[in-house]
Amino acid sequence: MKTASKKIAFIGLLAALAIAFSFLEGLLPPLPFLPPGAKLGLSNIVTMFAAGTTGIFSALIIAVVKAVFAFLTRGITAGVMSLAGGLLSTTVMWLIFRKTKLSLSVIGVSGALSHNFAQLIIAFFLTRAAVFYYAPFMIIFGVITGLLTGAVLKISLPPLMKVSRHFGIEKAERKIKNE
Amino acid sequence: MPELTNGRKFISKKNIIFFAVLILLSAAVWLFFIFSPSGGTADIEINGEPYKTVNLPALAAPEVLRIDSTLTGGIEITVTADNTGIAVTHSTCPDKTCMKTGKISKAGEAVICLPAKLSITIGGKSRADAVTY
Repeated sequence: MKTASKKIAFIGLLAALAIAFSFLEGLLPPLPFLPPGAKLGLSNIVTMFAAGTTGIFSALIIAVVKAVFAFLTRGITAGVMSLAGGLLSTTVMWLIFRKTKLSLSVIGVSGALSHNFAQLIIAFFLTRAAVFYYAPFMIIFGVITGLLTGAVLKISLPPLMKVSRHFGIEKAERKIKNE
Repeated sequence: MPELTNGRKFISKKNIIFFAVLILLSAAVWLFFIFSPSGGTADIEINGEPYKTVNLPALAAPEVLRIDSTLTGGIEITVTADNTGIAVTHSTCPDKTCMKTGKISKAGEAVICLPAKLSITIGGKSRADAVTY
């Protein structure tokens, strides 16, 4: 296979993984101590990994695929919310990856907070209501879920890199061998 | 590209302090909301337009409101109000977040049903503080 087609196949796998995470998350019962509508954001692990390894373009594609899945299964509102959150958080995470040496936990938390922030803005434009009342809950919850995302990525990075090697993400191989 | 993830630590001491400050600040604002005085009126808005205002303390018996579904894009919503608060008690929207929010009573609190573009907010003087902190 050519490198380009291998990369496309890999991005397809990542997108499928993101959808699987969204679906599994939907099966979890709502936890009583969480604010209404709050989610763990497991699929953000995938966009975070993509933003750091396969690049901004493919990470944005995964965010769009996720939004289409939300639209098909949960309706237009969920689709728009997912798209706004996904695109902003992916861009923010990629920028931090690219421009700084900050730790994975900071990237995870920034991703979670920007995701929620984008959704809060959309909610505000849809209802013009005082949605910013939710901001403190959102920040506390975003820090916790963001830490979780960062931790899971830290643990799953070595095996993910091994897999990505088979898909022609060549630099990954060299880097891992050097370590 | 992959080099962006390599060699990155999970967390540092500075990060922990930063996260702790963030959580404490948010918790402080949250507590401020919790202890803010109970509001008097509940404003129901659809699509940003005022739909109905309910004066909660004046209600002697629980009042059940069926929202006009032609305004909410066909979603049927039932709101129940009494002198202790107001809640969405039934909705045909897909995610039911508005129902899970439960009863609200304090100034600045809100129940929102995004698919129906419906919001219920409790009015009161502390609300302006709540949105400008």
